[in-house]
Amino acid sequence: MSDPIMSKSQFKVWFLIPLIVFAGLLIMFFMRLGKPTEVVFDNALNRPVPSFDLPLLSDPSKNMTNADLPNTPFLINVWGSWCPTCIVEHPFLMQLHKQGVPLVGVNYKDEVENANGYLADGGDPFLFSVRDYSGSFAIDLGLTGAPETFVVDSKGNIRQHIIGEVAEENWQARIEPCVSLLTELGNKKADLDSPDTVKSIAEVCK
Amino acid sequence: MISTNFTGVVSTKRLIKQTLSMIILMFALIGFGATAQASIEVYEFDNPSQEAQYKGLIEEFRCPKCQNQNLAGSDSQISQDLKRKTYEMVMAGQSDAQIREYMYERYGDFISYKPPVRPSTWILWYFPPLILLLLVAGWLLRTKARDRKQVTTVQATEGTQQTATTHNSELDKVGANLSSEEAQKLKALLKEHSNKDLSNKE
Repeated sequence: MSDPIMSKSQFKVWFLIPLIVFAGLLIMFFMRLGKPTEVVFDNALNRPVPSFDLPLLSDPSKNMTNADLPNTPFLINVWGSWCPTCIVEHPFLMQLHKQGVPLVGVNYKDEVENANGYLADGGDPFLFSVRDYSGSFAIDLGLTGAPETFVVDSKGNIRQHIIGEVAEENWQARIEPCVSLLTELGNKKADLDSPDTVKSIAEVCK
Repeated sequence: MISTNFTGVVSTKRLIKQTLSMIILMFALIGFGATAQASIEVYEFDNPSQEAQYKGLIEEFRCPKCQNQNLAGSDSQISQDLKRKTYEMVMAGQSDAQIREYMYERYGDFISYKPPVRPSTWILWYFPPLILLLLVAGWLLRTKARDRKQVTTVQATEGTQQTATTHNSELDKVGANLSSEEAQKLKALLKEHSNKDLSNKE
């Protein structure tokens, strides 16, 4: 800075830089105030449901695979009788079942008797439930905990990942628009892999 | 006298009793802690390098549920499962890179506290060293330029020290090709700076 040619005004600009950086940081931090800090794991999105070969909960002698999944858009719900939030969301899942929304259950790290008792008590909203006792299918799904719900399109690609419970509020705001768009696209037999469709799905299925 | 002695004995006895019960409680707690610890992880390895690999990886991976903890520090369901998976893959002889790839595939780069080097993360990895290089280069260039300038000023000052008249005539010569106004400004500037350098030197 001992450059004799540098004028006083140039000095002032250099001294202003920390202030400008500080102001920038202040704005950035302020914008993030009150926003969720959790990072959402969404690596499962826009990919086929991971391949599985798991026993059926209602009849463990029978195994289910990807071929047994519905051909229409549906929801995969990961649940366990030990999971308190699952108990909270269960009545709403029953409501969806009555509305005719196809649900496939993944019984996550649970005992057969407990799981069947849970469904006997609260009703069974699922087309079928598979048993993921080891939790390895859950890892393939990129699960962070139960309950979690995945919206799957008619071609078997995962399009939405809901962490936590499904309730009236996020069903109306987030999930229902996604499911109805996927149903519409499925009925039109649209190419679900074309970049434009993927983009429009991603917009709705946030 | 006697009564105070008596109470003294009693309190000592009580103290011993309390201390003893404390010690028993302490051992009981330690024992409990040890069994609780043992029930969490009982992985056995064939050799120390496998154990080191496993420990390194669970230190590196993040718990997806409790996002500011690593797998090693977390006891959530999913962390236990991911630790077991890591253990299985280590025992199957998979390399660090293969196990990392498995985790990235399912959970994305965020699963690791050490992000992979990919085109999308180049800015993260290469920007800091790059800016350091640029700064060092800029600083070097700047100091070199300044050194050159200082050499010329020192020569000029030496001239002033010898004879004031030569310096003045030199100053007169400078700026012969400028307009009179510009020449005056230049002279004033040069005078100011050579004086400053002089005073700094002394």
